[in-house]
Parts: sequence; C-alpha cells; structure tokens
Amino acid sequence: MLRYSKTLGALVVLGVLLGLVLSACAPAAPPAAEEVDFIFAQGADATKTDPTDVTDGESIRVCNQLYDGLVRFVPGKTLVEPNLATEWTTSDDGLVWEFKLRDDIKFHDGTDFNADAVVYNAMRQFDPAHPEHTGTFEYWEYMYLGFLGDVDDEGNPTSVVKSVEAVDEYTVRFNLNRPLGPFIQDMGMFYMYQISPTALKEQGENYGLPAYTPAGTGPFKFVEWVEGDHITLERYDDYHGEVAKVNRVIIRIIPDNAARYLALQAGDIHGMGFPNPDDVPNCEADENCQVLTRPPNTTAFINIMTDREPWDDPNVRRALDLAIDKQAIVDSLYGGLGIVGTQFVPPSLWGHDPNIKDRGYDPEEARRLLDEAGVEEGFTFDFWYMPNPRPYYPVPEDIAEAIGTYWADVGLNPQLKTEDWSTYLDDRAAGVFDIWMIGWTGDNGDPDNFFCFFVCIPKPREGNWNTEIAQQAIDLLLQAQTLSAQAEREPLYQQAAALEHEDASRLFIAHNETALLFRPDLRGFVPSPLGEEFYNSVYFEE
Amino acid sequence: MTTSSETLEGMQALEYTPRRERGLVRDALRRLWGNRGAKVGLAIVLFFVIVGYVIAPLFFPYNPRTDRDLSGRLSPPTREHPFGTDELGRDILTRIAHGTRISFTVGLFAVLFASTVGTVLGLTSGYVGGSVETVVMRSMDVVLAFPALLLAIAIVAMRGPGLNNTMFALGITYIPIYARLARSSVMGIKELDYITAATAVGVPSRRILVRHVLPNSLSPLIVQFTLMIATAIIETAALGFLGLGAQPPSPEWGAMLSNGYKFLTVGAWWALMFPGLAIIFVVIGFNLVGDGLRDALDPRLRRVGG
Repeated sequence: MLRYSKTLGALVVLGVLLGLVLSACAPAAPPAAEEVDFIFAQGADATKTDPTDVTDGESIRVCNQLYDGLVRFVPGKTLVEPNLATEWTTSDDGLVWEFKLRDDIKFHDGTDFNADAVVYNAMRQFDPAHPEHTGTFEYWEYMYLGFLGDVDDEGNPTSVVKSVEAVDEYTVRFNLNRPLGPFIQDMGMFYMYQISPTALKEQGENYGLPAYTPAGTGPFKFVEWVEGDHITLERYDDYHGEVAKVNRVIIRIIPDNAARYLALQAGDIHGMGFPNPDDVPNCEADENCQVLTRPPNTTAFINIMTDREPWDDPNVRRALDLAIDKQAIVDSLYGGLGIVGTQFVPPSLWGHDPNIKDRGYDPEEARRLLDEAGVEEGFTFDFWYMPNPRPYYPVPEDIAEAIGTYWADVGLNPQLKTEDWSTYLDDRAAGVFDIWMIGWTGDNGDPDNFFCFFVCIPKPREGNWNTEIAQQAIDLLLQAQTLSAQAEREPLYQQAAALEHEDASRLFIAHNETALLFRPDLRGFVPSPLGEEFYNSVYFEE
Repeated sequence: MTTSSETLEGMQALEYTPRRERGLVRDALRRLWGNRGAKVGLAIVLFFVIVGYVIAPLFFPYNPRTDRDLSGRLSPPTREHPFGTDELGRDILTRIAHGTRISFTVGLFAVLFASTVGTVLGLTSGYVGGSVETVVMRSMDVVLAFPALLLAIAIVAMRGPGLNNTMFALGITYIPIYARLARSSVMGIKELDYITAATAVGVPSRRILVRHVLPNSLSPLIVQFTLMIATAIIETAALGFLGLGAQPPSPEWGAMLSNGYKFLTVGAWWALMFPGLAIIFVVIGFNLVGDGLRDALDPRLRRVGG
C-alpha cells in the first residue's frame, strides 16, 4: 500500500510538473471587473472536504466555508451560538439533548435540510453498519469514545451517544448513555457539520475526494480542487446567515513559508497562515502587511511509543526531555510567540496546572539516566518531523534539527525523517513511528478535547500509553467527562496532567500564539483560538 | 608516401597498443597543462578537495551538524564565523567545507554509475547492432524524453528522499548520455580497418570491444565524465533544495541554500550567498577542467600539434 502510494505520488509529481509547463504556455484570461476573490495560502493541501473524516487544519479551513453545524462558535470565541438549530434544551440529568432546526435551509445541491438529514449524518458516523460509514471518523470515535455496538469488558456500551432520532420534521434528539460535559461545545465542531444526504448516497466512499463535489449549507459552494495547487469556492447566494462579501475564496497551497510570504508581499495572495516566525516582526514593521494573531491554544509535543524498547523505560523518556533546552528553542524558533510547554492544556485554558514545571535543561542528568538505563552511546533511531508548518510547530524542520542536536549532545544518534503529511498522519496512526513530532490546536475550548482525545483510548497513534499511571489518568479524565461543573472538572484534569508529566509519556515542547499575515486592506477576518474562521465576513477596504 | 606511413601507423597501433596509449595520456596531460583555463579549474577543484577532505575534518573547530548556538543564530560574518551562522547558529563556513564531501561523492558516484552502465550499453548495442541496438537505444530515447531533473525528482519521490537515492536517480538519468556517446563512437570505429583485421584474424567480439573499441572511444567519454560531475553537483543541490536530497542536518549545499533563502526576508544574505558561491566555484572548476580535457584529447588538435 505504501509502495503504491509512493509510486502514485511520483506520477502525480510528474503530472503536476508537466501540467505547469503546459499551463505556462496558455494565455491567462483577464478577470472580470466585479469579481472579488479572497486568496488565502496555506502550507499543505487539504486531505478531504468531508468534515467528518479529517483531522488537519488545512482541510478544516475549507470545511468551515462549505458547511454549517447545528451550533457554531462565535467568531473569535470558544462559546457556541445557534446556527442550523435555532434553540436547544437539555434534560436535568444531561442525557437528552433536543434541537429545534431551521426550516428554510437547503444544501448546495438542493436537498432539503431537516431532522432526517441530521439523523442521517449522525448515524453515518455512529453506526458501523450504516451503508455510508466509509471513513475512519477519528473525531466521532474520540469525542464520544466509540461507535454503536462498542462495549467495554463488562459489556456496557463505551459510546457516550446512545441514539439519535427525529422527533418531527424539524426537531432532532440526541440521547446519551451518560452525561458529557462538553457536549454542546462538541456540537459546534467540524465533525458535526451537516452534509447533504443525497450527495453522500450518490458519492459513497468517494465523498470528499478532490474530484467529487461536496455539498453543505455553508456560505461558500465548492467549485474545484486542483490537487497540490488550489481549492476554489464560490459564494452561496442563498446562505441563511451573513452572505459572503467576496465572490470567491481560493485556498492556494504554497508549501514553503518564505515563498508564501513573498507571494503575500507581491500581492498574489491576500492572506496566509504559518509565516516563518522571523517574518512576523518584519510584517509588523511593513505598512504593506498586517499581522493578526490567534490567542494561544496550541500544544506542541513529541509522541513516544511507550511500549517499545528502549522507550518503555520512563527514565529514558525523562532523559530525552532533560536533554532538550526548550527555552532556547522557544526563544529562537517561535519568534517570541511561544512559551515552554509542560502539559497538554495550554495556560490560556481552564484545566491547566501552573504547578507543573518543566524538568529543565540538564544534559548531564540526561546522560546519567541513559547510561543507567543501558542505552548505548551512539544509539541510532529515527526521529520523525512533519514536512510542513503546523500552528504548534511553525518551523518543524528547524525545530527537529535543533532537538536532534540536543540529543546528539547526550550521545544519541537521531536520524531525522519526514514524509508527505497525509502519509505521515496515516503512519503515525498505524504505529510506524517510534518517536515523532505532533501537536494540537484546541477545537472547542474544553480541556477534554486536549487531553481525553489523546489519552482516553490507548492507541499506537498516541504512543500506546497504557501503563498503570496511564490507567489512573484515564480514569480521572473519563470521570471529568461525566461532570458538568467546571470547578469539579478542573482538579481532575490537573491531577491527570501531573500523572502524565511524571510518566513522561510525551515530551511537551511549547504552547504558542499563531500569527496570520494579510494584505493591509483586508478586513473582517476574525482570528479564532480554535482556528474556526469563517470567510463570509471578509472584505477589502476601499 | 603519405598512404604508406598512415598504413604503417595503423599497423603499429594494432601491435603496440599499450605504448601508444601511454603516449596519448602523456600527450594529453602536456596539452592540459598548457591550457590556462584547465589549470585554474584544476586548482579550484583541488582547493575544494583539500579543504573538504583534509582541512575541515582535521582543523575546523566546529561540528557541521551538531554545534548549534540558538542564541547566536543568523549572525552576520564575524571573526569567529567568517561566513556567518545559519538558522540554528551553526558555522556556515564549517558546513560548506564539510558539504564538499557530500557534493563530490554524489557527483562522482552518480556519474561513475551512469558512465559504466551507459558505456557498456552503448558499446554493446553499437557493436552488436540489430534488434539489441533497437531495444537499448529506443529505451534510452524514452529516458531522454524526460527532462533529467524531472525524472530524477520522480525517481526520488518513488524511492524516498536521501543521498543514496539521489545518487541512484541522477545516475539513471545520465545513462542515456553515455550510451549514445559510446554508441556513436563505436559506429565510427567498428568500420575501421584494424577492427576488420582483428575480426578477420578471429579475435573474439568481447576482446575486440574491450581492447580495441573501448580505448579508442574513451576520449569523449572522459570529457563527458568531467563535465557531468559539474551537472550532477548542480542537480544534487537542486534536489537538496527541493528537500528530496540530503536530509537535515546534512550540510548539503542545496539544502543549505533552501534553508538560507527563508531568511533572505530578514536580511541574512550570508546564509544564501556562501553556499551559492561554493556551488558556482566547484561547477566552474569542473567545467574548466572538462573543457581543457576536451581540447587536450581532441584527435584533430593532436594531429596539428604533433
């Protein structure tokens, strides 16, 4: 499979390059005068336009424009407000959630939006026997801890969701097996966006792939996706909310941070994510450039396969942690926008424990621990880093190289490895890596989404952390999920964070603000700590 | 008179091949030494070899991969760092000097691989002819139909990035050049009298190929060899620039360029300029040597000179 995908990749590269050569010969059509495009450049291509089956910010950016959920995050905030649902009620025990839906909505393909559509969308993810249950639905599984029919050792259903039913044409009800603190927050997230059932039935497992047209209810409709180059969306004039001010949104893919910045300076694009940290002060000083920052809501870390030698020894993991001078990395490679990471939950969010301190930079102690654990001088291993910038790792290669040099200082011999981003994500899920860089941007303003998401179900993609200490942490996190009062939940997250820190199952590197750069005349872009930005409010000042 | 002396020369060549070869080499070297461009080229190449293989590993105070200094990153040229420092505060001079070995190794082995395979294919297909020739040369045409770098990118994308795959990919793309060159030489040589004579006295084909055809078609191959090293160094850098060649923290020149140019927007010109200059000088060096060799080995020039 891997071989096949690489061969395919090579063919695509060939094809794209030949295409570039050919297209350079074709004369460009002059743009119509009234057309206003908003061109935003990102560092990597989307993986799918199916919001239920993606985890990366690049795909989510596209989905945010194409789809709506029953509720949505207030722009720039972590609170939710009515969207496709006009109101909702919850029972006293928190087990029944009832949503009243808008009755005037159509999907982009003309299908009516109603309670049946919501049930169809939910059951598609929830029920493994559903004919269109064709993805992995990572988010549904992690947010609700399983699918229909999944049971624990005692035969109890693991899933939080019990059933989803249409009460009448415009009322839908979610029944839960146990209360879920962040349930309504989760409802605003992309994986609960509503997709046209007609499109899902017609396209089956191909839904969301580049050659297929997705249909949502969002402010923009899908036009085309040229893989590795751009995705074009156009305004949906019948949008139920604020109709977009620009005609088209073009998401361009420019992998190189510096090239993206140069394209912005040249006016080829209007906005970009992931600038080189060194370019942010530059842009601030430039009157032809505008910096907007997302509030800090990220965690950058290194995942370790905790059940493989020699990483199964917590002292080896601690040694890796002690060997890295995180403060120096944050100071020099995050452009002044970061702080040293100590735990999953960033300091801006409740549930963060300020008492957990970084182990500090102590290469001698690291060496001693490695010697003690019997790790040989010059021990060679692959250290994987992502090929493109992430919100939490603005310059992954530089950071990986720096970390590699620190590990070399204590006598290890890490080999830096990278591969195509979507392969990287697949390989990490398949347990191919032993030790790799990854991170997280919070989705819904709840610590559960930082913590339980990664820890509650031990899996290869999260390093199989399944020690005794891990079990204690998991119990705390699951308990926190069933409570609704923040004051009761917070100490549980803090205790779990302390356990995680003690066991060093991951190495936390940094939390950071992420910067977005724009043309100076762009207005109406509201940076969201969750990365949930809707481009219908974007316009250009005259 | 003229006719008989030429015939005599031809017969001598057949009988005293070894002596004649030595004469050719000495002759060529003398001619090369007389060429000012070649001398400069040779000096440049030797300079890089000495610095990269001897001085840098023995005398330079920094490690090119691990001696980072994050607080002193992107420092302009100073006394401690004559070429400045890179994005992790590593000494750029050290990295360039050590990078010489990478460029030279990849260049040499890629071309060695290509010239060996290509020459064998070209010689045999040219000498044997027929359907062997058709199959081999048409497949060479197919390879040549792709721009070399593009094909190399595709091969590396298929096999995964890294120096070994870079060598292999470049080697593959260069094979047709040698195959064609070798074949065209053979086409001319195999019609000559001494080959006919050798065939007539019953020398086996393989021996004819190795003892008589190969030595006499060697000059253009040698010239091409030198020139292709320069091309291979550039294309190694190109693949490194695209992130497909040497992987970090290798001090490969192309990778250094692609890292350096990210910091052009913050004014760190040294991170870009010095690796760029290194590539330029080495390539000029090899090209000058190659041009000099071409002049030195050109049989027409030899006849005029001797």
